[in-house]
Amino acid sequence: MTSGLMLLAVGTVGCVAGFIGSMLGIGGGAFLVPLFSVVLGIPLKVAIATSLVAVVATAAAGANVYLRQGLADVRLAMLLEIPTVIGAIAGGLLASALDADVLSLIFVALAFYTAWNMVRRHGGGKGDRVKPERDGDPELAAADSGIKQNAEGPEDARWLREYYDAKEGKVVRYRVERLGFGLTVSVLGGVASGLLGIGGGIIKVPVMNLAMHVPMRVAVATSNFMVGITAAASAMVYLAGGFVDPFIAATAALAVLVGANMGARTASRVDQRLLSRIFALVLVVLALQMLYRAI
Amino acid sequence: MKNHDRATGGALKASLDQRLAAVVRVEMYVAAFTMAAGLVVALLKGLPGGATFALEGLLPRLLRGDGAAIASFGILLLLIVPVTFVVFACTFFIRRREPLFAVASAVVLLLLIAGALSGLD
Repeated sequence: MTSGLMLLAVGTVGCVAGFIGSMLGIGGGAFLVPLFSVVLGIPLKVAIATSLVAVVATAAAGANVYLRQGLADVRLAMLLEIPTVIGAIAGGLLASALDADVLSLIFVALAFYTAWNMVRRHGGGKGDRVKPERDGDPELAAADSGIKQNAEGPEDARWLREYYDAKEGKVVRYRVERLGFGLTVSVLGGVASGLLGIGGGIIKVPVMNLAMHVPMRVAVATSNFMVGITAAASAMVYLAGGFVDPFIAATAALAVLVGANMGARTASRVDQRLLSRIFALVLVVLALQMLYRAI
Repeated sequence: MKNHDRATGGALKASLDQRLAAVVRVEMYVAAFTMAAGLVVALLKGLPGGATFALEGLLPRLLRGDGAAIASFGILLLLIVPVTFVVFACTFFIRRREPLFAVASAVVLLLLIAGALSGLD
């Protein structure tokens, strides 16, 4: 039953999740689903559907910023979105058919992975994994001079990219590699989105950066661009399945936008390492409560 | 134009990004305003219990000023934002004669439509 008080609670939770997600550079979905489900007692599939609508809102707002900065690689995004959307639709249909307890258990596994990933990312681990720009690179030089590469090389100039790094004050060039691997693993990102109500950025960003050697800034921007499309595909399946409460979803989407905006303004002023550890702990506690309820 | 400029889009990439960003910004404002309007109307009229999103009869309910219908329409507008990304990208790549990316965008668009229809009776 939706009441004014419930909407106030949804708004508060959405705002908090958006704030945390924005400050830690992760989507709010990983927090929204357990908070809605465990704290507010919203049925899991409704919580997932609500989370997906909220994820679309934050991704669209983020994409707007990244597009203006020219960081999102739209071409790469479109290619990777083919398997991702297939996975998202499959995940959404699977979630509709699965028992809520089974879904909870899968979510618990994701929550533990997200918590671990949050601590690892902000714990001074591996940095950006990109092949350094090489002066006199024959492939880049060939691209510059208009000479087509053969099939054994990087194939053609379509996989050579560049972006302007405002922080470094220079144009950074890179080459998209292991596209086949990226396309294959993208299915998993889609399934995770459809099944668990998350954007899937937690899978997309490491795949693009670590495996495909896309610079972290571009990987994050491209993932953000993709997350909106993926979450929209998943949300449509839930929408058609009758799992979306328009009042709860609208409140959550608006609140997450407000929270994410506040988080973006605060992010540079807080100790992100400490923050990530605190919220990783919160996520683990929520996951344990979900686990307790499911078994 | 140099090949790597063609690959990355160069100035044309910037034009795609800027135009897309402008469209997304307008769509986001309209969707957010519509969702907020639906919530305000529903709160003023009294929240109906157990409301679910339904496309069926959406237009007449919208015309009656039904809060749930207005909020649902806002959600629909929000979900259309990423679809706009794809339509925009597809059109751009067709005009730029980049068949690989035009086809990829078209496939994504078809998948999104198929996904929306997959749950419908």
